Amino acid sequence: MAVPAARPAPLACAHCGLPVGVGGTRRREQGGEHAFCCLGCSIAWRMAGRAAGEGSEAAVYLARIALGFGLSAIVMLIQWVHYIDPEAAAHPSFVAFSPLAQVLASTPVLLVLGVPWLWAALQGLRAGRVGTDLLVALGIFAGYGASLVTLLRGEHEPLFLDTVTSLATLIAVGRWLEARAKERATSGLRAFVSGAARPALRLVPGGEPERVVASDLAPGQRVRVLPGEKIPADGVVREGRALVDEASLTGEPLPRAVGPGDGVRAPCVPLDGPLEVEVTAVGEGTLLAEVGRVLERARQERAPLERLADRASAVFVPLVLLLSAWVLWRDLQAGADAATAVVGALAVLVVACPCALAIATPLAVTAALGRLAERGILVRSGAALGALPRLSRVAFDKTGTLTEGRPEVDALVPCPGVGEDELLVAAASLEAHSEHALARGIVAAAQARGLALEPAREVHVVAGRGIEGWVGPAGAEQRVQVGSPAWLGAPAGGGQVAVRRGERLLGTLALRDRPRESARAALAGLAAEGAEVRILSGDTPAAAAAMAQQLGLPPGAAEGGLLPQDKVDRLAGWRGGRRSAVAFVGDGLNDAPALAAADLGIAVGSGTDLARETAAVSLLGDDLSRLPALLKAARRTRAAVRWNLFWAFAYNVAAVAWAVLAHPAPVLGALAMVLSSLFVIATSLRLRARLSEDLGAGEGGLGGPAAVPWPAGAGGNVPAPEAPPIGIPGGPPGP
Amino acid sequence: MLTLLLTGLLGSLHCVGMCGGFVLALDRPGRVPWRRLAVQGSFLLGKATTYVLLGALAGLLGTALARAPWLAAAQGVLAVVAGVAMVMAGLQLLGWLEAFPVGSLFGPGSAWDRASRSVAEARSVAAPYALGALTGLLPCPLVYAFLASALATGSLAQALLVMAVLGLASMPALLLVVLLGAVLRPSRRAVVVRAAGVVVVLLGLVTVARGVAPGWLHLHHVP
Repeated sequence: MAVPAARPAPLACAHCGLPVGVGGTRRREQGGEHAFCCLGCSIAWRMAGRAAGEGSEAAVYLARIALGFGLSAIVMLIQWVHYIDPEAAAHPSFVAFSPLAQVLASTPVLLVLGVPWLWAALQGLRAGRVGTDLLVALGIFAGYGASLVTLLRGEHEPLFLDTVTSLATLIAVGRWLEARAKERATSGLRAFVSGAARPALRLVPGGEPERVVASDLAPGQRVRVLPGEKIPADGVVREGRALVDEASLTGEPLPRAVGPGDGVRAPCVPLDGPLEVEVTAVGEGTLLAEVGRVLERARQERAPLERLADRASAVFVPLVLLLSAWVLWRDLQAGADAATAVVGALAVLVVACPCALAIATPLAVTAALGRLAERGILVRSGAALGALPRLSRVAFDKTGTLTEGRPEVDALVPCPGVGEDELLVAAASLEAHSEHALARGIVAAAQARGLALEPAREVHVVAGRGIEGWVGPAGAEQRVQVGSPAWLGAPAGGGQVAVRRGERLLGTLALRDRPRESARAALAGLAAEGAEVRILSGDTPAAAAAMAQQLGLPPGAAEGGLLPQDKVDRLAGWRGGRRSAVAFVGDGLNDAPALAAADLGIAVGSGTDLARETAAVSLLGDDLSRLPALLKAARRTRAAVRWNLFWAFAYNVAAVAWAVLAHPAPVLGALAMVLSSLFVIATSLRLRARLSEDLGAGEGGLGGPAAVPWPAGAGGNVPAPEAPPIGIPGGPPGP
Repeated sequence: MLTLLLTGLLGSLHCVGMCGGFVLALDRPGRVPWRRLAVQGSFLLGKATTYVLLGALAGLLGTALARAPWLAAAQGVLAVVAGVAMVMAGLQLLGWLEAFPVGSLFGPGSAWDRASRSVAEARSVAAPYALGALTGLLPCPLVYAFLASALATGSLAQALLVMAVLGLASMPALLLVVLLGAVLRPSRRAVVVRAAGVVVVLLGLVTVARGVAPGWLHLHHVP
């Protein structure tokens, strides 16, 4: 089943961005209502000072934890006196003073730490959700209440105040630590912010350039970007030449040479010369913002495995409550005193940690998505990431994907009686108005020969076949068609592009399309990962076969002469089965149906918006060698998720069993719970580190923008090397 | 116990010097009275907590020492130490000794300073508590005097009690500071402080004497 492209976005935790699942809570803060996935996140969020304007809010929660810590230490000390100094403990004034002191010390702790949990639990109950907060709040207030009852009865035993306060403090610390760690795991995704506040220098025609921020810009306006500054919005270079570092967007370490007419994107940085850029998209319309949005959605979607974990959690908590009540009953029946029985029940409540189950999957997936995004690999959802390890076959589009998409005219094959120039002029005049990948090469060839192009009108695309229009000076136009030989009746065996003027077939053009440098390595890597590689091309079978040979594939691996529908049919034929999936790698408009038809669509280059929308994975930039790394990363993530889930599940079963059977001190239970969460988090952080290693910074790169040794020329006219082009459209889209 | 309390009450005038500043900084006169009280109470509770925790350390140490045969001698020494510390406190009040030997441990730039600065501005009922807890760590001869006494008791329970008394005893004085802070003129305040200084010095001397002479035990015995 193909991975779906869109689904309504569920609520995200305002702190860590993970989905607000079963145990979620909502809070009203200054600046509106925020939702958090757990109390720890709401605490950590305020501690990080993100509440509107209050820088020292962070200290507030630290203060609360300090209060809990200090006072529970006192309560514990008072209890300790019994063990350390029995003589003094027996003294009547101590006996009178100790319970009162304990209550005085523990009440503030309950109020400051316990009440928020109670509140969150009640809110959850009202929404029909049962979560860990309920367990903890119940345990703590039950213990407190039981102690008060004891005191009101005039007795001095049993008192649980030391347990209750230390529990409250320990759990608060644990929650806060969890939230901090979660934040670090998701930090990779936060790099993609739209930067609305980025400074920009707007050029005013006939006036002084004015300093504005990125959000003030509008399409059509021009900005000047100095070397080292970030380009504030997507646009087209109008003046200046520079090497632009695009690592922050595509993860590619090699800077790209740009000049007038080339597209550039925020937040890339020109390295060695100023650029004057005409804005085409700002703020939310930039590619950067789109990447951020995609990642947001990806983070929030709950993959099938996560929903299973959610349901398990929802069942788990009531089960634990029942078990706890049963333990209480059991102990009382067995003749134990109330103190022991309550402590036993408390331990069961506290040791269970459904939160580990809930964060097991999201944490690993989010960490992986973040790392991949930093490397320019945009995976749209956790489900897509989960489908990747199942790939058994990868089909590539040829032109523009495996090749650089800038084919050059290799040879002209005119029909008898037709001159080469005549053939070229007819083709180029028409192609000058085309967006097609072949157009530039044809026009460039004509320009190289110094040929003057004729004007053309009413140029339109004939789907799957070519383009046609009226070419010639006004009053003497002739219909010209440029396209597939089959369509125009050209004999096979000539060039790939036929040209017809009026009724005459002028001849064909042979085009050579260079494969990308990274293609060979990518295909070899994919084969090493166990995926079979195929090429599906709209180009002639001969060209397809030649490409296969160039890239080291067996002859049968490439198919040419395919119309878009044919590609869809092929892919549909290969699909199916849970054990194997087929991916299609392509770019460009005519790949959209194929991208949708495959189990997994992978769009290459910044491509066209449509391709990106339909594809489950977008590879920003043109480094295909990342594909094997992507597969590997997906496999690692899957392993990490499985491990996390297994652990979380096994821990809960074992821990609850331990608590029911072994009667541990509740404090130990709380400690175990915190440790289990930290374990899951540690696995995810380790995954992140391993992925960093795997994905790396690309082979043979210059090692980052700082290493670029080009001298800064005056006015930025530096002769730049031929750096591999990125498939960014070279001008405003649309005819 | 009563004498201890009395000592604390009088000695706490010394606290006014150091902690008075914090207390006044925490107070915001525009607020509702109960809120101001809550803030002060929270601060004092924090300070008391620190004292009690320090007392626990002293008490544990004391119980360890209690087994030693030289306990009687140790207690005598401790009483002398306590007395000397109190004399120092009194002299500080009188202005003859430099006050607040803060040093680099608690001065600007230190961890203590940063922690207390960030906490002082937070707007939660727990924040003054944290500030109070931090304040309790400041070097204060009176605290040391009480700690010595706590150590001398040789018992955890009694040590806790001694420090709790200190915490309790410093409350009235500091609350008065808030209440009268605006009312008392500086010159009047100086007189009060001087008087307190004299009393504290005398008390300190008495404590030293008791440490030297045999009959001091009952001062530390829980009645």
